[in-house]
Amino acid sequence: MNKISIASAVILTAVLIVLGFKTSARRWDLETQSARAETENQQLVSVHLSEEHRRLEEEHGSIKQQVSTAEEFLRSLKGSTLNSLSMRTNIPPAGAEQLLSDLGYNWNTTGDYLVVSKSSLAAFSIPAIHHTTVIPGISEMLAITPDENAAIQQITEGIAGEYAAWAKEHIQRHEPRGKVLAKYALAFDPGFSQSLSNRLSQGLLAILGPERSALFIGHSSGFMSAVGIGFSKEANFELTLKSEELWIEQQSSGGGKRVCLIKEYSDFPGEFRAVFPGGWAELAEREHFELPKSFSTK
Amino acid sequence: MNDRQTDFELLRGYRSGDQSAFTALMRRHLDLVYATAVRKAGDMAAQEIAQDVFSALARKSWMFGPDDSLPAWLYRAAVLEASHWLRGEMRRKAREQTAIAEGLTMNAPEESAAVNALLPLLDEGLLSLREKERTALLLRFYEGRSLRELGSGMGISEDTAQKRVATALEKLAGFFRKRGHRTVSVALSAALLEQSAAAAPAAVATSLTQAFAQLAPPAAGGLLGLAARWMSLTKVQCAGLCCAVAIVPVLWEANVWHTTKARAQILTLESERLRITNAELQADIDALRSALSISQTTLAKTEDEASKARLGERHYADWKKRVHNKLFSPNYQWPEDCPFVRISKSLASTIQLFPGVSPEGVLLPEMRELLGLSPNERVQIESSIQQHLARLTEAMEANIYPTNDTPIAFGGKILASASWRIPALSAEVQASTEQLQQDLATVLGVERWQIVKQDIHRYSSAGLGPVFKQDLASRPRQGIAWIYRENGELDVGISSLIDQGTSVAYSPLREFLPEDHPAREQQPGSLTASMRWMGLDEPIAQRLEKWLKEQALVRLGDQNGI
Repeated sequence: MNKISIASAVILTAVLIVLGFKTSARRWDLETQSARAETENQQLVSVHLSEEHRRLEEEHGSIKQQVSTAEEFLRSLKGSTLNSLSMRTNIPPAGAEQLLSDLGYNWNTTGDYLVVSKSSLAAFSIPAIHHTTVIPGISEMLAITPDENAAIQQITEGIAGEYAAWAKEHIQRHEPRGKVLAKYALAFDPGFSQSLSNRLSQGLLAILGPERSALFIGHSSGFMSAVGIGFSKEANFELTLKSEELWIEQQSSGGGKRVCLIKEYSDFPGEFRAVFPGGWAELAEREHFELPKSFSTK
Repeated sequence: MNDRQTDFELLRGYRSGDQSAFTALMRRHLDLVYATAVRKAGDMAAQEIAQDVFSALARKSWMFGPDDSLPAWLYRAAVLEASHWLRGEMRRKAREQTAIAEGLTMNAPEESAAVNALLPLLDEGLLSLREKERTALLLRFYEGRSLRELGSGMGISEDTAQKRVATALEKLAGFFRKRGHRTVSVALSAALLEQSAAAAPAAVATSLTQAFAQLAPPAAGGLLGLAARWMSLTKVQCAGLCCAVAIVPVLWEANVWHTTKARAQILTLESERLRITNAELQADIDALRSALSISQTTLAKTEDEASKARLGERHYADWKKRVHNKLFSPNYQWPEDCPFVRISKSLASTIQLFPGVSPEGVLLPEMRELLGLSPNERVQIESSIQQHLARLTEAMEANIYPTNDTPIAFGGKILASASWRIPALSAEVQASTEQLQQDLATVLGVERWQIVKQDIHRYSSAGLGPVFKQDLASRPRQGIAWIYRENGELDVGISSLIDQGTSVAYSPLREFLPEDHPAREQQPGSLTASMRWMGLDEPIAQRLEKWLKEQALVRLGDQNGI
């Protein structure tokens, strides 16, 4: 019985161990099956994802190519930028140069004419009015018709006449002393100056329209100065003779001051031209002094 | 010689066909069996019972191992066989009782009444003992072994054998006392055993020997053989064999377990690796989708822009035609809706620009248009002009010097003044001007060069005239700055003298204070700019500006404003 008990115990132990191993193995087997299933699932997902990845990359590459092509096309359409510029009548200088270049307009391609931007016209130094007459150059530049020309002249003559009458009435003469040969002043009258300015600007606007009237006025500074438009201060001048040279110290109605040597070609102070239409010569005659010899040719 | 080994060896010899071995075995233990049978069933049945017991031993000889006690087994078998015989033979019951009574009577005359009373309980008492104790008593009293033989037979020392016999007797006496025989002692128990022991008659022994002489040993094949072999092993061998047999499936299962576990772990790792890879792939895909979305938006936007651009391109082409038709129409009129106008080239030659170029040598836009320059021509002209200016500046820097001159015809009191002068630089200007003229004539061609050239000669400040600085060749130039006080404020006068021509400009000294000075002119820079436009050359202008800044700091630096 003892041996049977020992055998039974050993066998039972062995059976239990085997059962333990079997249970554990079964558990691991289940783990294996689960892991295998998971692995297979992951492999399937991986295949799916790889396929998706490849498809997306192809699609992305295709779209990028399309974007690149479209952008290239856009770059080639330089007119798109210029088109927006062309919508404006007053374009910046850089845009004007670009447009002119694209239009192919330069000195060698436009025959007898030159194409310039409207914004440049204001900077061109070309007087609009000589005394009361519209200068042909400005007429051509602003395409002023003969009828428009005549209408403008009517206005300028009216304003000049009115100013001359006012200036003669308000001019102040100071008696010359020492080296001072002549000294005159005109008091600032803002009301009168403004009324002349309004007449000029409104008249030109009615005749030429906003663009051209603005440009015309911009080139009429000499005329306006000569008729007292834009006065802000008293205008005066003092003529002095130093070492046989004629010097002028002048304050313009616009506020500017200058001290300079007078030559035969030097401009007569504009505000006083209505009183002295003959310029330097008439002033000399009026004040009884002799102009330097160099003026004799004038 | 070890008797117990001898019992096993005799049994093994019998199993292997040695009949004499069984006979020897039977002779050795016949007294024990016979005495037990006599005590239980009487003389008449004792021989039959003994024969049955040894027949059973012969049949079951295979089941004995080296560790088993054959006397104990024989005693138990004899008791059981006797009991069986008594229960099975009812009609002989009376005779049994008579026999027992006769037996007691026969033994009784010389024994005490106590012994007779204990005899019926003897077998029960012996069976209550442990096997080793029972064996010791049976061998000592029924087979008459000495203590030495007893110890040798049981594998123990003589002293131990004596103690074991004494212990067994004590336990047996205790058994009797528990059954109401309170006076039973060890000695009485020993006496009881001695009296109950009875040697088998020689006739019985002879009869049984003859009966078993013809008995064939049991066949030991198949399972019985295996069982016989199994029973012949010791306990240690038995345990070892079992372990050896059991270890195989255990190892097999362990191997299976280990393999399965390893496979599961590998697959788990592989699965985990794939999960990580997939997660990375998914992240890539998400990023790609995001990029795709952005690209799609960009594409839609770009295509929309392209569509607008195509439309704009068409509009622009139409506009170009319209502009061309307007500008070059025989009935040309002021084009209200166009940024360009036309002028005749003859008129262009009479138009002046004051100036047409910046002091740095960059053509003004109006000048570019007045000369009808292409972008390429502009670049070439500006490059030539800037090279010329650099050459002149270098010459002026080499020749400039300070003077003590003061301004002419200034009526006020001068607090301080500074003056710099550059002499006529005939040779340098001549050489550089010739180079510039050559460059311009080459780029502009005859017609436009005449316009530019005309400007140069007529007005030094018109068109490109300022950059030629023709007067520098024959006329020294000078810049004077002075500080004076007017209406309580410090003012600056600057005059530019070129030959006999003089230009003057004025400004508050505050203009030249440092940028962070609280008293600095709010909109500075007017006089600084005027210096350039007055025709002051850069070397003179820079020096005057530096001097004025120093003066402003010295004279106004500690003021918080005026």
